[in-house]
Amino acid sequence: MKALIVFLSLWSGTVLASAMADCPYGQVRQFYPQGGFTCVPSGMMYPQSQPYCISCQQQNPWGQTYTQPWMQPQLPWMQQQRYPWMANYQSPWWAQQGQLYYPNFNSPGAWQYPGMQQHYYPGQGQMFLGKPNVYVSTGKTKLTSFTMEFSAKDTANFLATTPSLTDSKWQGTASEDSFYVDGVKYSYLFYDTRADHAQMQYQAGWCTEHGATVKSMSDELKALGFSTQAIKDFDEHWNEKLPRVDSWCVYPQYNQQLDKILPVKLTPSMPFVRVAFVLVPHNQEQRRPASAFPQPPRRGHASLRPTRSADQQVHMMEWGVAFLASELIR
Amino acid sequence: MKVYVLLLALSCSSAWALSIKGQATVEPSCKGGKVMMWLSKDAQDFAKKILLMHTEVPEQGTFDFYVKPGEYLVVGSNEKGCSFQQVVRILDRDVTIAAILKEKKP
Repeated sequence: MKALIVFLSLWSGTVLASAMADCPYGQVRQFYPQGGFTCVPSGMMYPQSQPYCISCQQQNPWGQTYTQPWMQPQLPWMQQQRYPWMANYQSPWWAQQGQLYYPNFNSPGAWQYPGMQQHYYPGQGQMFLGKPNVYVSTGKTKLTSFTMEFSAKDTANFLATTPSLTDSKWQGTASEDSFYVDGVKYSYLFYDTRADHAQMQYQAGWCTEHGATVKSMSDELKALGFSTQAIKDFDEHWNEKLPRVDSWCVYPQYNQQLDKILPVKLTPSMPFVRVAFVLVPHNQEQRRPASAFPQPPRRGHASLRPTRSADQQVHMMEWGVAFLASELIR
Repeated sequence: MKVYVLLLALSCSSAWALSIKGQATVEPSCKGGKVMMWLSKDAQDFAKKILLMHTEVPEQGTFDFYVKPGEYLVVGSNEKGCSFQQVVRILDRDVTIAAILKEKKP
């Protein structure tokens, strides 16, 4: 019997080795029903759950199928994490790639519950405003030139921008729903930034379970009049990038708050609707956010919304999502 | 000396932002669609890799990552599976890179 087990082990090892033979160094071959075999970094060769798994639900030498106990999703720590084998194959291409290469892909950056690890990033401010996207709508008009300038040059703490800023501004033309900067078409302008959390409001908003959080925010975008494409981009991005916690408190920030931390000058002058959602993990049992700061929202947010006159065709709109530094709310 | 300067820079650099500036271009066979540019702290151990930021860039588009002094991995990829990868060691001045996405060679 022992000899048989040894033989089977050697045989299965040979089969596995041959299956792995033509992947680059440091990678192994893994099977996905939708995509066939794919080379993935060896560190990702975790046991997986059915049906995407060839290694976790496996047969033991006695022919019994079993799941490695540490991979059972009912364990609490599993519910806090996402791993490559949990990849959603309906995800956009960039998310599938990101999940293969970065263990923390499904978070907004260097995240550690309950917030961002600020020491990884330059600059000041304990709020990390992720992916504000700026959209334009010109209707039938063409803007032969536009400038979007961040006025507080000395206090801005950008982490990323697309396209590159020149002297704290973007310049170009705009037509229909696109920007053109240096002759390149951008569907939106993008930046990540650090900012002062103390300038935000923490009285109005809502708390909701994890699964309903993105939808609750995109409903707010609809109420503000964002375009279908802007809302689609929002859903696509944050369905992938929202860290898994039981529930979130959402504190929406609008022009009144955002203009204080990152004032913007638009030329020509036009309406600019801004919204950013500050997200703080919510401890449902104790009915408060993950720490004493901030308090759960105590009132509705509808009265804070900026308004835009419907007859002003040319306008810009910006959405973003922010997380606080772990040190602030731990 | 370089090591000393790096250590000094790292020790007093909480507010010091340097820029990794780039333009995303693609080989003719890779054209079609947008490019995702990824910035991470790399590590031999997969579990210790940390994705810091990523940004979607149109072909020929430009981007900036603002970072503390240190060593970073910049990766570009697109839907066609073309890619770019460069380790960027940034010390005391901004760095410009040409992110040219190429087909993966077998």
